[in-house]
Amino acid sequence: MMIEPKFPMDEGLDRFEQDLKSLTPKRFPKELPARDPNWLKIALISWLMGLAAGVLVSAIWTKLMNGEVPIAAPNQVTQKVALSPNSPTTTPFGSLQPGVFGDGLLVGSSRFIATDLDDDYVLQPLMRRNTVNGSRRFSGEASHTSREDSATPNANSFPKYQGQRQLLKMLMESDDLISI
Amino acid sequence: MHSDNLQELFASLSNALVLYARQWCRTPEDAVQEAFIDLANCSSEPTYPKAWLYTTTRRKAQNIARAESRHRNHLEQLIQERGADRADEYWLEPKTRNQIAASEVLEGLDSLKPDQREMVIAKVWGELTFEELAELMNCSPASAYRRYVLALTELKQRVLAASTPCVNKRNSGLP
Repeated sequence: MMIEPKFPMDEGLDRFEQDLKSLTPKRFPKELPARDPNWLKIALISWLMGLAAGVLVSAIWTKLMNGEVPIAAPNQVTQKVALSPNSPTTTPFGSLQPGVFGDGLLVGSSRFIATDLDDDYVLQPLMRRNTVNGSRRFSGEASHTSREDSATPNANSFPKYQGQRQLLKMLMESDDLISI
Repeated sequence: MHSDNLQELFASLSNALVLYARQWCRTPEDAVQEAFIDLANCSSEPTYPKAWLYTTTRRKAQNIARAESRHRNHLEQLIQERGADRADEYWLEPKTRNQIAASEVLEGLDSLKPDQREMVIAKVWGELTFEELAELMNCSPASAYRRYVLALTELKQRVLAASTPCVNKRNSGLP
């Protein structure tokens, strides 16, 4: 409480002042606006931002899990890298464990391989060999070489899924390649 | 400032502040409201919150007055229409304890110099101390006291001069 220094006031003036004070000012017509505490606003905004981020992350995660994001890496491998046997990027597509990416992903990736034969590192060596074998066959050695290839895989052949490879080879070596 | 303190100040000061702000503008409630909002948003509490409120209300009212002057014609028409009820607008009682009419007090206040009117309203109805009045008027407490006494004396003379015919009329028994 502030203690005011004593200021003398004339008695008549003091009475007049008290008289004026008897005129009570009217009540203020408006209410003081309620103020939200700042922390409440901050908490509300943080919560909304967290919610939005959560929804976004879960949407991206779902998209990834459904395999709708194309994995283009295998098709972008250059011919040179694809031919080196020990390079991790030359792991044949067929040797991937299905459980790693799921069946849906494999199906999706196979579609890429089938539609882009020029860049395909699985079929390219076979097709190249097919060309060589074709020329040999025309010169009378075809059946022998073919059998030899399937029995003793070289460094460029793939150890797993031999049955599939065999079938592919047969198809490639067939005379009517275009109809396939 | 703490919400409870703010509510307390609002309850005790808002009425007098409206009276104070009406010197400059026609919507004094807005000026008072804005001043309280500013006080609520103050990072540190002012040394003299009452004086601070009066100073801020004055500034807000002056700003509003500037905006009002842009459509002065419309306001003047409003003032003419509502002129008769001006005293009722600000005070509950029509007369003081000693039977001085509120309208005469208002007229007397309006006839004072602006700084005198400011001081009287702030001191009488705002109940500011001379220390706070000095803060508001940007002078020393002693100077605030002197100026206030002078302003109050002038107001008394004008109000009594205006109310004397009524008193004489009452004393003479005329209707």
